[in-house]
Parts: sequence; C-alpha cells; structure tokens
Amino acid sequence: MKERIAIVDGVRTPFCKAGTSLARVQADDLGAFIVKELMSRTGFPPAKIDELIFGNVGSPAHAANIARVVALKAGLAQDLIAYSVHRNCASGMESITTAANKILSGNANVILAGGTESMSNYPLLFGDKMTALFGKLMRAKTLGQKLSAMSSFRPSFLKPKITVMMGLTDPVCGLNMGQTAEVLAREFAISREKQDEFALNSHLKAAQAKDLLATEIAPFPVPPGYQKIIDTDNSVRPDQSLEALSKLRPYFDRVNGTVTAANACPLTDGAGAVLLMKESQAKEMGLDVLGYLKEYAYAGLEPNRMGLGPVYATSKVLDKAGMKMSDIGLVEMNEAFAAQIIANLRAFESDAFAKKYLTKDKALGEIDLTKFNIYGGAIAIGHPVGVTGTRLVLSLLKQMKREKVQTGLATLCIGGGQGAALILESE
Amino acid sequence: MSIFTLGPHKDSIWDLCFDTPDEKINKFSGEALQELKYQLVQLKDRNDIKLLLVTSSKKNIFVAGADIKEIENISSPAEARSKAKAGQDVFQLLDDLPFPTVAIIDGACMGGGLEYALACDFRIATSHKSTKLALPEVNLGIIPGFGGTQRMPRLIGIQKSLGLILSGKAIDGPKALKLKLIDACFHREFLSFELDPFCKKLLDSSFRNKLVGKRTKGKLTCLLEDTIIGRRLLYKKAKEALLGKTKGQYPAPLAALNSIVKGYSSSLLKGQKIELDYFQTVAGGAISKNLIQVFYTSEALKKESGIAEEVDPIDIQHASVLGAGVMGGGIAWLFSHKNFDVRMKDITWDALAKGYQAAAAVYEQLRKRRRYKSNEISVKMHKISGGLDYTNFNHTDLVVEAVVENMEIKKKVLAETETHLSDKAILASNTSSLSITEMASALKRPEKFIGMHFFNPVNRMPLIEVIPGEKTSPETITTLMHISRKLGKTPIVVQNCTGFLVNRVLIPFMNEASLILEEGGKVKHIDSLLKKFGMPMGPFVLADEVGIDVGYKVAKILEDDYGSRMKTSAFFTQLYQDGLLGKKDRKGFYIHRGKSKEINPEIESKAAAFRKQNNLEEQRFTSEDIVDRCILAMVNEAARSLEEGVVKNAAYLDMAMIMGSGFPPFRGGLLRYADQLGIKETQNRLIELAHKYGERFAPAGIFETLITQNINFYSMEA
Repeated sequence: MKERIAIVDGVRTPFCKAGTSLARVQADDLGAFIVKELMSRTGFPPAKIDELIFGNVGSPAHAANIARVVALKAGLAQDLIAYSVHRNCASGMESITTAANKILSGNANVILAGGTESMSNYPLLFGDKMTALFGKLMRAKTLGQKLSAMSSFRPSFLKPKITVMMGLTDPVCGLNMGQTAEVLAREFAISREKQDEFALNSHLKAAQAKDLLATEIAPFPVPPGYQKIIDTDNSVRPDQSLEALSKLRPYFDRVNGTVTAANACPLTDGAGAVLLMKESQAKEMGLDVLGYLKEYAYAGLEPNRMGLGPVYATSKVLDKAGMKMSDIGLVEMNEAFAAQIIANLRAFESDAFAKKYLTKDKALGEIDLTKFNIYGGAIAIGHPVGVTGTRLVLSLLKQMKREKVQTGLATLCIGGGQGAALILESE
Repeated sequence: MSIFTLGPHKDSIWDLCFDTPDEKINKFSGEALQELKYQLVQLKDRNDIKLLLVTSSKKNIFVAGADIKEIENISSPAEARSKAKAGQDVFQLLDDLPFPTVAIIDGACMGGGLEYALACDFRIATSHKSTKLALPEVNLGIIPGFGGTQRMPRLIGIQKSLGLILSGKAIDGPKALKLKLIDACFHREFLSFELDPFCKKLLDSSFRNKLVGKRTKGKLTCLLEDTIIGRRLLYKKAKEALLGKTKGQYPAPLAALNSIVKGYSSSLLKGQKIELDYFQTVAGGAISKNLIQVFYTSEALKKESGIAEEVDPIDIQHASVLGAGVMGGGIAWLFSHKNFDVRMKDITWDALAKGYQAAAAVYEQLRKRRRYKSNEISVKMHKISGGLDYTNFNHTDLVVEAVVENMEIKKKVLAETETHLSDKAILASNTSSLSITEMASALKRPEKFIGMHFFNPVNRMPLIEVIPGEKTSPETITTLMHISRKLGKTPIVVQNCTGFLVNRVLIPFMNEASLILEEGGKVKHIDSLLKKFGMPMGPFVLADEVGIDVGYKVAKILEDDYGSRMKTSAFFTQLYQDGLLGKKDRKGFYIHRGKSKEINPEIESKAAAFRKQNNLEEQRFTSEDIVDRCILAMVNEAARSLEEGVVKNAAYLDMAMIMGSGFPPFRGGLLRYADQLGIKETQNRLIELAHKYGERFAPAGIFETLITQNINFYSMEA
C-alpha cells in the first residue's frame, strides 16, 4: 500500500467577487501573500521546502510560470524551484496531486502546493483583424506602407475578445460552461426552482458557517493603498431569498433556460496554499497535521457534460482505494452550477446511470445531504478557478477534524470534460 | 617609494599612476601635489609620448579627494589662498602638457580627484558601483579650489555644474557620460579589452576632435550660458533657489555659485584667480571647521561599537513590530526597505491597516521620486506581514515594541510578548522617554531587552538612540548597533535617563519658548528668531509638528523626574488642557491649511488672558535674550547630560542633536557652540539668565570643571 501524503496545514485568502475588493490585486501578489502567510503560520523552516507547485488558469502575461513569481515574491529562497500546473478548474487539486506524485516517487520531500487566480484581471484582447493590422504596421517600412496599413483600420477592429468568456467556453464542443449546465438540467430534468433552492441553501449555509470559514482565511491587506484588510468571503449573501433568485433572467439560454447568474458560481479572486510531505516525515518531525491524502483520480467525459465529472472521478477513485460511498463521512463537491450539482447527486444514486456510464451494476450510492457541502459552496463562496481545488481540500479537512470524521471526499468538475476526486483522511 | 609612478603602457602611450605607498586610498596631500608637480615638469619635454594615461592603482579608488586635515588646519585666508593656488598650479601643468591626456577613473573620484581628472583632456570611467564622481566640497563648507569651479562649467556648462557643485552630490559612470563629464564609460570587467583599442583611437587627432565635438551644448543652453543676459538670469534664479535652501547660513554654495558664474566669462587663468578669491572667503572659516568636525564625528560613529568589550552580534533575519501605528508602520517600512522580513502585530485589523498604509505611503513618496518602481514596491511590501496574534514570533530575531507610551501598558505587552519568543530573540522598545530599566523589571530576560528609539518620520531621520538598561547584555547592545547600521541609520548609545538624550535636551527648547510666550513674547517673532539662528523650524512650529499632546506628555515625564528646572510651562499645560493638538488637528500655535500655515490668533489672546489671570505683567524681550534662553537652555541640559555620562563624548552628543533634532550642522552642535562662545562666557551668560529668568538656567557643574582645567567640551578626554 502506498504511503499517505500529510497535508500539514493550509490557509487561503478571503474569496472576493471579481471586480470588487481584490480587483486591483494581481494573481501573483495574491499567491505570494498566501504562501508567506502559510510560512508564518506554520513556522516551517523554509530551507526544508524543496519545491513550490501552484495552480493557475488565467496565466497573467506579466507572470509567466506564476509559481516562480509567487515563490520569489513570498520571500522563499532563490534556489527553491517552482512551476505552475493547469488543469482548468482542478488546477488547485492538480498542484496537490502532482506534489503527491513527486513526493511518493522520491523526487521531493516537502512541497508547497496551492493555487491563485485573479479573474478580475483577465485581459481583453485585440481581435484578429486588429492584431493583423498591428503586424502589418510593424512590418511597414515606408510612409506609404504605413499609411496604407493604417487606412485599412475600421472601428469594429477595436471590439475586444473577452478572455474570461473565451476561457469559459469549450473550444471543442463550442458550449459555454453555463450552457453545459443547461445540458445537464435537461438530461436530469432539473427545474429552475430546484436550482434556485439549492443556491439559496448554499448562501444560507455559508453565512451560518462564517466563523468556521474564518479559521481557514488569512485576512488580506489590500494594496496599493491598504485602506482595508479583508477578512471574509464577500459574495456570500446572508439575506439571499428565493424571491430575489427567481427575479433573475436565465443567462445562458435566454429563451427557455434555467441557469442564472445567481444559481451559478460567480467569477472570483483569491489564493490558497497547503504544505505537503509524507506521513512518515510529518510524524518524524512531530508535526500536528491537518489530515492526509489517501487516494486520488481524474476521469474524462464528454466536454458538453463536463459538470458530471465528479461522479465519474469518484467512481474511479473509490475503485482505486477499494472503498464504497458508504465509507465516506463528508463530501465537498464544487458548486459550479446548481444544476450541475443536482445532476451529480442524481447520478450518484442512479443504478441506470451507473450501468450506462460507469460500467457498474449498482449506483455509487446516495449522498446524505447533511454530510454534503456543509459550509455551502462556490455558488455562495465563489470559484477562483485555480484555487477552488485547494479550498475544497482545506475546507473538508477542517470540517473532518471538527466533526471527527475519518474519511472525506473532495471532488469537482473540470471544464473541457474531466472530473477530479480526492479521498482524504483525518487521522 | 614614490607616490606617482611614470611608466610605459604600450607603444608611445605612457601611464602616470597615482599609488600612495602603504595606503588604501589616494588623496592630494601637500606632499602628493609636490611629487605630481615634479613628474609633470619632467613630462612636458617628453616628445616621445603620444598619449598619457592618468590612472590609480588603488582598488575602488581613483582619488578620494584632498587631505581634509590640511583643509581643517587652514588658519587664514592667505594660507587658504596659497594652498589652493599650489594645487591649481600643478593641475595647470597637467592641462598644459603638449600631448593628449586621459584619466581612467575606476573607483571613487571625489573633490580634488575629479578636479585632477578635469585637468586632463579626456576622461573614461567605469560603470562599477564604486565609481563615483563628485565635487562634494560644499559639504565641508568650502568650494572646489583646484580649478573645479572653472573647468567643469567650461566642459559641461554652467547649469549642470551648478547641479553637481552646489549640492555636492555624487554621480556614477553612466550618469557622468550622460552629462558629458566623461567621454566614454566601460564596464570594469571589459576594460582589459576595450581600453587599449580606445586609447589607440585616441592617438588619432580626428577621433579626438570627434570626441570634443560631442561636447557641444544645445542652442537654448548656449543662449542662457553664453550671453551676459542669460547668465544674469541664471545667476539670479540659482541664487534665489540657494538662499531659499540655505537661508543664507551656508556661505560655501553661494561662494561656489559666484565663482562658477563670474569665472565663466573670463579666461581659464583669470577664472582660477576668481576661484581663489572665493575659496579664501570660506576655507578655514568657523563654519567650514564645524562641518569638518561633523564629518569626522560621523566617520567615528560608523566605527563605534557602543561598548568596551568585543562581542559578536546576533544575526538578525526576521523582525517583528508591536503596534502598527504611524511609527510601527514606519519601522516596518524600514525593515522591508532593507530586505528584512517583518511582521506587525496589533490588536485590531483596522489598526494593522494603518501600519500597512504608513509603509505604503513611504514607498509611494519614493516612487514619485523615482527611487522605486511599482513592481519593486510590490516585492518589498510582501516582506511585511501582520496579524492579531503572536504568529511567527517564535521565529523572530528582533521585536521592536512601538505601542502607546504608557509604562504599565508597555510592561504588560512586553512581558506577554517575551513568552512567545525564542531564547535568542532581542526585545527592543521604541520608547521616547520611559525608563528601560523599569520596563525590564517586568521581564524574565532583561539582558535581552534594550531601548531602540527611532525618530519620526522613520524614513527621513537618520538617528537611532540605543539605550541599554541596567541588565542589558553587551551582546544585545552590539546587535542593536549592528542592525541599526544595516538599516542605514546611525546608532548612538545613550544611557537610560529620562527622555534619553534628544528629547531631554530638546524639550527645554520648546518649554522655554512657551515661557517666553506666556511672559509676553510673540509666536511669530520667537519662531523666526530661532529659525534665523539655524534651527530647522521654530519651537512653536516644532510643537505643532510633534503634537502639543505628545510634547506635553514628554515634558511632564521630564518634569516628574528632573524637577523644577524642567517645570512645564503653565501656559503650555493650559493649551494642552484646552485640547489644542497641533498640525494633526490643523490647529495649534498655527492654523494649518495643507502646506501653508498662519498664526492662530487665539494663542496671543489666550496668553494675554493667562497673564491677567495670574497677575503677570507683559514683558518685552531683546532678540538676544529670546535666542539665548531657548538655545542656552539646550546647551545647559546638554552639558549636564555629558557630565552625567549620558553619552560618550561631546562630539557624539552634538551629532545626536544634529541628526535627532535638526540642530544646524553649520554650528557644529550645541556643545561646539558653547566652545565657540567660550566656556567662561557661556557660564556667565547662563548665570545672567538665571538671575533674570529663573534658577533653571543655573549652569551645569561641568562648566566650572572645564574652566578650572582650562579646557572646553571638545578638548575633554572622552
């Protein structure tokens, strides 16, 4: 049997809706802050860290290999190596599982893993025509050539490409993520009301868990003016109501859709980090650890049904670990869309689904809602794509400790048609 | 062994190398000049030489300047003139050599060194960080006297020369190239293969002409500098700016300005005579001597260990700051600026935000002055972290406590903090006046505790008072001296007396001014007299800057300990009780509006009412009495402090007051001022003031001791 990976400690920034409090903070600065804070909180000797692996989806142009920038800005040693990983919405998890692989294969002993994302700062790009015009201008040597290039300009060339929308659109199936949620809503016949109800619950649970969530958050002093220090996730609405939710128009299918901006997760800024090593090393060093990574799996599926990633990946990870859903005491599943979550819950308990898609005779097993996303989820808290995986692991381990639960499942769906599932243990 | 060595370099190129035997640096002493003259006289008949390289063999030094000792010893204008003339004559020989000369500057090229290089036909400098070019003479109260004020403007123009000579600032190779002060700039590492080809090209007169051609100034510059009207305008503007800056108290920059502008239109030879005319007005004068003394003291302080025994300092990697106010944030800024990790702790997130804001505000100022770029600030700000608990305090090496100035609170905070620290960590208090020994009584490890008094604003004030308590260990003291220097500050060890040194000496200045005010003096009059004396600001402006509440509290602490001679002015107390705060509340002795201020009219009516209430008559004071009351009150307290051994010697005391309170450097310091006034005269004047205004002026005992031994403060044994 493979050795477990100890997740010694972890911390994250508050999550803020894109365009709000953290809008002027770049992803590398969010990441550097959280790494530094984790180092301060653990007091772990920096010299003992071998590598930093960070997830990030919208790689900022000014910080290629953002992990290295994060490490250096956080004040880690220059000889500490760092690289970035990208598996879309699972990038935070990818940083943990990549680290686990490295540690288990003996290529590293201690790794700082995490994720950072500033969706506020996803740039607007010039369109193809404008780009071509710039190219022509740069090659133009004579005044005549320059004038001719410039005369081809039309105001419509200035229409930007919005990278955040491009990123959220699957280039293969052509559907926006919200549209894939509509696909699932139809497949599982999930009404707008059911979705809104789920969204409401997410907000209420998150609002109620504010103090518990605070234990995983490092308050963030906001540059450049430092006028305030933010200590809570700002998209949680304690006053959310079904009435308010029902007023919104469907966003992705305007005619007869069900997915709205409010029963989907918001674009979010934030960062998180965890410290990883082998269980044996943590014990040797006498560290008081948060929990352990026992097993993980990623699974692939049709891009237009990407939201079902969790059920596919969970099926795989249970097989790998030789476990059943009944062994799982707490579940954290990323709430990309309420429709997508409800679809997963139904697929988990459906024999037919299991037979058709998972090559299993029986359903994976019903998920007890009292053990599911007990602090709410991304619909309320937000989904900074490169960080959510880190948050799910951190949050779940803290819940498990608090509730004295031995085994937990952290799982999420991945744009492009994948799913990730991690089995965590607290003792 | 000779100081200058002439030898063949290659082909018909020769090398005149400055290499002072058994010294790390080269400087132009009288002896060096003599020897250079001897060499140059020989050289002028050498027809075989086609190019002369003027070099130095010292690492990181071309020529460090003239010998300051010789400048200091100048006793008359005639001596000043003849000394400078000797240098001018030798450099003129260099200038007159029949073949081209080129100075190879790879290291510090200061004062006389740069004048030496200016007398060459061409100059090459390296981009190495040790290569600095400057004419810093005005900082020592003199002007360049070896032709610098003449050759530099002829080479690069009047305006650029004024920029360099009036400020004395140093520039590096690339900047010098940009100013056309040098003809080429090479990387030191590339000299071995770039110098020779360049020299070979210099053998060719057309290449030389090309280099000279590059020195031409712009048309507009010519219009300003090469016409009588333009020069008049330049002179007028420069003089105004200069007087605004120096308040007419520093004659050297003005002499330099005159020498530059007046000499420019004459021939070089006549220009150099003009330079001598101005040189002799300043060299050897009292102000120059004072500034030289200040220079010596600052050099001595750089080497001062602060303790008798030799102990190794603890290595400080990580610092923490307790209390994230303006001061705490300023201290956090300083640590981050010098690349230390620093963690702030306060009791609320809002308070912590203030600390971040204070640090970010300093960086923003520096960004505007182009000392920092935005991305660099981002990296530096990441060195600062903060929280409400003692996270990471077990890994910190130094904690600077900057919480509210209250003994009980400080004791409590320090005792609590101590339990979170590792055994080797040092705990320092940034108290401005509370007893270190008493604070230490609350601690388990008093040997690791010390006072570290920063001055506000931290980024601009160069002084740190280092205050050992009774039980502070030598290791702790050494470490504080060491870290203070690493932070770019000048640490001075001060004994643990109430108010330490700077506040103890400075408060009587403000207090005396307030007494004069309550007896009938006028705010504006008193302030302007003391500003004229040379203080950076008058006592009431200072009180407003510091805060009337802060000033009052410190004054009270001093009064409690020192008794009647420090009795706080009753009128000042009343203003404090009336809730007047000073600049932070925009209302104190002045009404502050942004950067401008005007007299607060209430003050004088309050003073009149105060007199009526206390049956005091309104008195009138001579200017002399006003200045002497305020300044001699400080002198007397300084003398007393020295007598008590609060600080090692008079020079250090004076330096502390210059750096900590802005006492004017041209006066050399408080005790230097007393020395120049005469010890006996100072004592007499104090006795006179004591008769007239109160026993607090009774001269410190040390005056009598000095008189008996016929010495003064600076000739005392330390």
